[in-house]
Amino acid sequence: MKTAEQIASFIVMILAVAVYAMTLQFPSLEGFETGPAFFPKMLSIVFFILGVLLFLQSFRSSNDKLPEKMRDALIIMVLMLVYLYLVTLLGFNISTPIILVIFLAFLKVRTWYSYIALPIGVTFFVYLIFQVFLGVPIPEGAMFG
Amino acid sequence: MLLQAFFDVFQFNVIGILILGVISGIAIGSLPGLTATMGVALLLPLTFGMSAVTGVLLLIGIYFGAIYGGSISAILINTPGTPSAAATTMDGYPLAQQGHAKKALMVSTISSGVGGTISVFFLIFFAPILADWALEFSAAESFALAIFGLSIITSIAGESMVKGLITGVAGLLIATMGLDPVSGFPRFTFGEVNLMNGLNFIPVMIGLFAASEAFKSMESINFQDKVKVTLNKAGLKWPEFKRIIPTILRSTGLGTFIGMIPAAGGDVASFVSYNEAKRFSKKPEEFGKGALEGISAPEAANNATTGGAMIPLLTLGIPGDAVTAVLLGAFLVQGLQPGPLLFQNHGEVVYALFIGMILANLLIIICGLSGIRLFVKVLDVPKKYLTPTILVLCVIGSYALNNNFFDVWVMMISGIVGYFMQRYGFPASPVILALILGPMAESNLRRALVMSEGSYSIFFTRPIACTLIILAILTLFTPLFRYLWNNHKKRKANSEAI
Repeated sequence: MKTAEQIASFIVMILAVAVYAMTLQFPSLEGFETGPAFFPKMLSIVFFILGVLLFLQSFRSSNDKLPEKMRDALIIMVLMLVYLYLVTLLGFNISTPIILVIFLAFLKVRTWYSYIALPIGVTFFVYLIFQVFLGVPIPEGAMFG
Repeated sequence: MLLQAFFDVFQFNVIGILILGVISGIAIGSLPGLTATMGVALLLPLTFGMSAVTGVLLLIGIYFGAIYGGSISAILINTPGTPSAAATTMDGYPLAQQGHAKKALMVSTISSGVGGTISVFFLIFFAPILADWALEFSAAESFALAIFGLSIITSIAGESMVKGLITGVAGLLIATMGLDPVSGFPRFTFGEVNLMNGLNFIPVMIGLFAASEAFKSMESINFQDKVKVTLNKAGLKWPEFKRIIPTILRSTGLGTFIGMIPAAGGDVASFVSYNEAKRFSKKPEEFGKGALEGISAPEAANNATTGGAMIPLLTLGIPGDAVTAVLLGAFLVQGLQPGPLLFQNHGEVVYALFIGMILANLLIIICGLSGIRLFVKVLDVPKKYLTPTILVLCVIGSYALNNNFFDVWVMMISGIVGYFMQRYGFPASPVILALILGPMAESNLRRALVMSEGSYSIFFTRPIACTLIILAILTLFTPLFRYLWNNHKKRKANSEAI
């Protein structure tokens, strides 16, 4: 926790400085008391102070390590990125069943019929509600669009 | 006239349409990414062929139902179905995780219905008086209201106030992305066209709440799938209900009032009422862990904004938010011009709408309570099936909003960031609060300063603005003082022990 908080405090401070630097290039408005830079500049100063406070506070945090079970969560994030890429390529209706089968396999689901029921069920449900019932288009993908 | 209105409403097809509206509203509201505004806008074309009362009541049913429906997914899967249910996740989800999903849903249903019904009575009796008052809100008052809303961050920050403030200020900074509201200068857009209008907060909200929660559940999914939330069949008991009555009434008042103010809707009202409920509570430490008041306050408030929002719409013809703007369109299509003349020329329509609105709120209670058994089935679905489904819904929900895949990437990045935030104790709610209130705060602050020619005295010489600012300062610093005081006491106790 301590290390994480210190890293976070540095990220906050660096972001604050970056935002402040960017606001310096914003034009000022003639005839107005406050320009586009006014609000973000003020916020970036507050943000920097908070970063410093977090850094100071981190010394009081415990050093104990969190249980490391992040692996599965990280794998799912990567799979989701693959899924989003697939959707832009093949469209929602084709990519969704594919990724759901991969998800189920990754989660070690053993019942064989889930591999058919869930992917088809979810895809059909979304298609029905969004496209048919509400008329909201669903992503078609570059290959078909 | 009243009798005529009764006959207009109590017809088989009108009641049927209203029930249809409320049920579709609940379904739309409970799906993340589909908001009340969207539901009303999507079904608006259906009303073109209907009579004025039927058509408008269909949309009102959807509007009211959707505002309530957002709480269902907020409670069951920690995903606010609509922005105004974001505050409901804070206590609704913990309570459901403890097995009391049924009780949580009962509280949200009854609070929503009661809050909504009372707000319609407010609308009927106080519409003209309140409308006059809300009209006095100018930039200074709106800024003060936004600041008051933002001051809640310290109370919802959780374990670390600094972390809560950091995520809040980060949200405010994100909210400044896009075209500057006064000069039109593009800020922090990095040449990306999709950022011109700033980041839409709904994909961010879906990512921070739903996707990050799904990622987190992966940590334990392969180890403890057997350990399910055991569902407690116990519903809401009478003494418990009696305890939340004051909360419902207070939140209804706040909600109606906030709903009346242009540009402040259910999202603002629910956070403000949540905080007030916490402040008035004898046990504020229970908030965030599944307090009944923590569910009933935001839910009564966000449904009460519906009655409030109708006040300026019907009496002045001014829509207070996006939903009422679409409703205004529905009126105009029917050849009705909302405003003072509507009451004179089409009195029977107005009364029919009032009766219909009360019915819609009663229907929420009926449909909600009878649907609970169906809703809680979601919790029976093993996480191995639920988590992938939620992730797919996150994708389609953020896409459906504007048919823009950019929003899906925003959702995904927010989900990843949200996962790490949650892991290291950075609360997500302040980000959403800041994204909602940030633009309101900035543009009104700058507009007020233009009005006063740069003098900050404008916020202290106007009574309403000044009151709100003082309340904001109190809200901001009370938790801080309490924290310091407790530390002081602890230290004193420690030194005495030595």
